[in-house]
Amino acid sequence: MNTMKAYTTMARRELWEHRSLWIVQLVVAGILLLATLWGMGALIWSHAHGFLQGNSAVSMGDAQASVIAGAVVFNFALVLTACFYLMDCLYSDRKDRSVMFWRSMPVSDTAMVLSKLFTAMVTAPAIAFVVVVGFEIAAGLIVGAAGAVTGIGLLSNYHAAAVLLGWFTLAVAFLVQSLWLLPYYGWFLLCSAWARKLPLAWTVMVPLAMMLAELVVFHTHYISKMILGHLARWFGMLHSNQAEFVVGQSGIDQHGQLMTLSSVLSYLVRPEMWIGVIIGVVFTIGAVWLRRNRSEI
Amino acid sequence: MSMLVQARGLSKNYKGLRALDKVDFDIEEGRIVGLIGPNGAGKTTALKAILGLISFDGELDVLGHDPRMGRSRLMQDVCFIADVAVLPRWLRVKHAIEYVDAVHPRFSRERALRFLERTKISQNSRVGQLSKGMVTQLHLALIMAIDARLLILDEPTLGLDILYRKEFYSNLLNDYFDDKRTILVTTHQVEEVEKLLTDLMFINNGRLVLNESMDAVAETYTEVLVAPDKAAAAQELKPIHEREIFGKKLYLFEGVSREQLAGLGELHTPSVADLFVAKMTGAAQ
Repeated sequence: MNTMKAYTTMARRELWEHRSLWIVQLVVAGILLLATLWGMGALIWSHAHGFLQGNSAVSMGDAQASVIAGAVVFNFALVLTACFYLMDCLYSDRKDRSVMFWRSMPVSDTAMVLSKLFTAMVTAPAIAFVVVVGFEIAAGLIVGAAGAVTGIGLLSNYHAAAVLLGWFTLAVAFLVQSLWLLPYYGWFLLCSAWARKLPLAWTVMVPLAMMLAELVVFHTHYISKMILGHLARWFGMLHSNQAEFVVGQSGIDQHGQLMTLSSVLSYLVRPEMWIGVIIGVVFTIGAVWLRRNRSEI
Repeated sequence: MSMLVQARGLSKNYKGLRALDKVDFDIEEGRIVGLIGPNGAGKTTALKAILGLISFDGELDVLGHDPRMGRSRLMQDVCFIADVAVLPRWLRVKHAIEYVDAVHPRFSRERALRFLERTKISQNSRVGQLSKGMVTQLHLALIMAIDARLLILDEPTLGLDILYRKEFYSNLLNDYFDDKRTILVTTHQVEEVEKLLTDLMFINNGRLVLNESMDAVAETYTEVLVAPDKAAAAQELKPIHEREIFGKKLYLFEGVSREQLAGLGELHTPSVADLFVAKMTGAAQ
């Protein structure tokens, strides 16, 4: 046995149990590929019947922006599956009592909990990234074929460098996102380790109760601003890209709002990021403690 | 002989309920110890304390460690089968082997595969597709492939049919046990483990009511089938338990020599089950 092999096997074990982590991504890719085929089919049909006139040289917009925008649906699927995974991972094995088997192995509770967090923060985004790249290559081939048939320069703005930069930005964004969302992820882990039933109810009801209590007692809503605002500040940036994708190059000021490598990295120097990380770490430590001392339902 | 487990004044309270009450015991290397007791007697609590799964009061030394510190280190030398249902339904047989192989330094993949070859379990099956008996075979194959010093079994054959139960213990004896290994087993089905055990512990209401080797048990306890006319003489020797069988009285004596009892009737070594009943009812009085 070596330690590296132990850790990689623990990471793979999570995918054996939680197949939704990759199946959901493949389903999204399948649906979007069908939609792309449909759209390009319609385009070719319109062109063949003369509905598209001479100079309507529709471009797919900025290459880097659309490579990232193409990942938005995948990313929502990623974040949702990661959240449900984290809510379930320390609960389901206590429910079916298999925790007794896992804890009979020489694996520390800390390593066990961290393998779950690693799965949500690194493995799941890595899977999503590979699927996104595969999807975009396949979609690119379909669009390119449609462009060749119709003679419309659909991918005229697409240069390899821009596409690669888009993918690189995406990979970095996935990891930054994992850090940004760590307080939520840690909270889900804590609820998963705590709940005797319905971890989902705990994850939602506790913050909701705190928000309501604050509203009733102080007539303020700092807690909801904190919890939802932190989410909005990240997903707002992703949305600006979606808008850019739809409006095309003419619409918004892309340098102000577009998700670029520097705008993604700028999140790393926000104090809010690291306050969130600390909160997430505290929740995770709590989950480890519960795992060690209260692992029976 | 080295001591694997030493407990002194081991106690555990659950919300005012005394699950273990200042229990002392030693487990020597190379023994098979049966921990027998009614439900709620404290058996599982004692095992959990040894495994480092719960906090406790008193002193407990397991293989030179305090089990409360570093469960993961302890689990390299201690194996544990809780009961039949603890392997998760989604787990594939080959993945179970792969996982244990990766995380357990004393696991032998070859050994596990050899045990599995003798069963009908296929590598690709998920645990959920296996019968209860097969899940136990799988768990046992995983555990027996680990070169551990102490194996702890908590009701390992609960809910299994008789064929699997017999096979479970014969596999354990023939393929696993040797003088370097030690087994601590709790069970309700005393008849099944009776022939296996080298040591016997009875526990009731959190206290040990018996803690002896099987040899000592055979010397100390004698069962005598007494004809009605000698019943009064038998009563004089203060049997710890009596019951009627075919119109004769069956008395169980503790610490009375066989010479003294020889005149009263047929002498037997009591079965563990009978001894258990005698000790439990005795303890209740």
